[in-house]
Amino acid sequence: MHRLRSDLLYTLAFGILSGALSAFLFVRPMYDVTYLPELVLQLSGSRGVFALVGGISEIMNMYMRFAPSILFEIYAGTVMYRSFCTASVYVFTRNPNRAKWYRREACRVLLLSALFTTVSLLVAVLLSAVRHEVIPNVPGAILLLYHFILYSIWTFTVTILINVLSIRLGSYNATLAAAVLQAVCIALLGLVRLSDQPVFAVLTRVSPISHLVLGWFRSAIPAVEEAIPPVTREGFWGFSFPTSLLVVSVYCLAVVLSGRQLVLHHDILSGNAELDGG
Amino acid sequence: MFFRSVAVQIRSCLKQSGSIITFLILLAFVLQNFILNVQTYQGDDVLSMVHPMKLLVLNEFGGYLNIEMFSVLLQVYPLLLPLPAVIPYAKERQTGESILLAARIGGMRYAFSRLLSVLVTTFIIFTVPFLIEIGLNCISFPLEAQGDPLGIGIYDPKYPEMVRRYLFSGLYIRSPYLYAVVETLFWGLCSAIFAAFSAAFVAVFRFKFTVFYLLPVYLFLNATTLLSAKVAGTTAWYYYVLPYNERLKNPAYLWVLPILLLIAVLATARGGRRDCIG
Repeated sequence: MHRLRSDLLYTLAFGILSGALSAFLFVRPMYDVTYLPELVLQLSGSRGVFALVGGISEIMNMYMRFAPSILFEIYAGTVMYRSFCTASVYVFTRNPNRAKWYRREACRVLLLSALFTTVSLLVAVLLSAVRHEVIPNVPGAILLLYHFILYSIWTFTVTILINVLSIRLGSYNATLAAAVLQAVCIALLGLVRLSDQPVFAVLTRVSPISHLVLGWFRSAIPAVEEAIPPVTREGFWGFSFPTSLLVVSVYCLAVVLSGRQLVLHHDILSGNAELDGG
Repeated sequence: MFFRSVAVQIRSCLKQSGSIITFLILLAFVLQNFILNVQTYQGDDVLSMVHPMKLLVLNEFGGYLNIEMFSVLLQVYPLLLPLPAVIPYAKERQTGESILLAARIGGMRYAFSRLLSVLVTTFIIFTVPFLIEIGLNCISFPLEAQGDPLGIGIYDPKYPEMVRRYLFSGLYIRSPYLYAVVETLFWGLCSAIFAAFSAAFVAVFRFKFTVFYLLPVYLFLNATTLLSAKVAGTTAWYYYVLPYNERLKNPAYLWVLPILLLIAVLATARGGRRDCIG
């Protein structure tokens, strides 16, 4: 109980930090009045009303948008792993069914990831509303929901990845591996300028981070479609929420299932990865 | 005794898997950039060629796909910094090996020999791959080429203005090749000081998970980038450590490196005085 309370407190702190940074650094109204969809699009990579087009400063801005979540992931990346570091024999003799233990811990990480995203979004929207005139509307609420779902799943995926890799590699190497993977996916956003070449188009489409850029979405809901500014470049644009949800969920499922296998078959009597690995 | 201990620790750090992995990652950046440049420019007329030193991976506009690779490098750089020497130092403290060494050569000597080994190891690992690239470019591309990847010709009135904003512009005007070497050494020096700043936290604080030693340098470097998005002028760390950055520099940067080094020295002195067993 004490552990859960401390996890929740840290998550709240990281969420508030992330939201505040987003509100101050990435929300920049184009006009006197900002509509909620514009604000949500800016939180996911757009500049003003313009969608991300893959320049170096935009990629670095996107990376900076993820920097606070990396801090959260570093912290939550020890939620499962710490049971493998201290008294692991004691923990797993009391939990002989490791699959059940893994499910419970994965749910805890999911809860923390969802809480982090919720707090971060709430703080970002509220602070922006205090600083600028923000007008809420239905398409904005729908985009906010898309943002919440996609970013929660992605944060959960990276956090689980760090947890399970840590068991083998140690916390530092695992975080480094996950961060490098995410950095490569963010960098792939830059390939959109070369998306007329099939290889680069495919690479951009399979990169999970591309599916977090709401400015690249098209929607079957007319009000939402109208709220996303049209982009002129042909051939690449037009992710839809169901497709993106599917892509991000596939990555998430792959990580969660491989993590389950690793946890089930890890020898708890082997050396301490924290000192051997990194 | 002190310098012998430093030499032993540098040798030991250079043989660690962390150093080898970091070196190989940086070398991979260099080689991919070199190969892409060769493929892009083979058969081109010397008059249309870009200056060989401006094709380096440390130049954000240096190659065909360099924006993507360069952005990955900038993203993983703060995570790679502690890997060659700071993480082995942290492990040494976690395993208690440091007590043995401090007992042999004295606490203060041990702490300072560790700081010096962090500086030298990080400098070597972060400099050699880029010096190799300078050699490769000198061999493979025509040394008479004068072009700029930004498309600004040397007779363009903007060109002198751009060159004047380089960090050591006087040296660049005298010899662009010597400038590239000096800038690469400066990049190594900055990396070494950032790593020493991380090592200061190892000397003073003790964390259960090695990944938390990543935080000081990660937070510092990203704070400069975040500040850059908000404050007029440029505070992002990479504007100062990269050779061909034409943005206006803030003179305050001259103080940052000595201050970081001073923090590292003071923290090491404090750590060296502390009781090893406490």
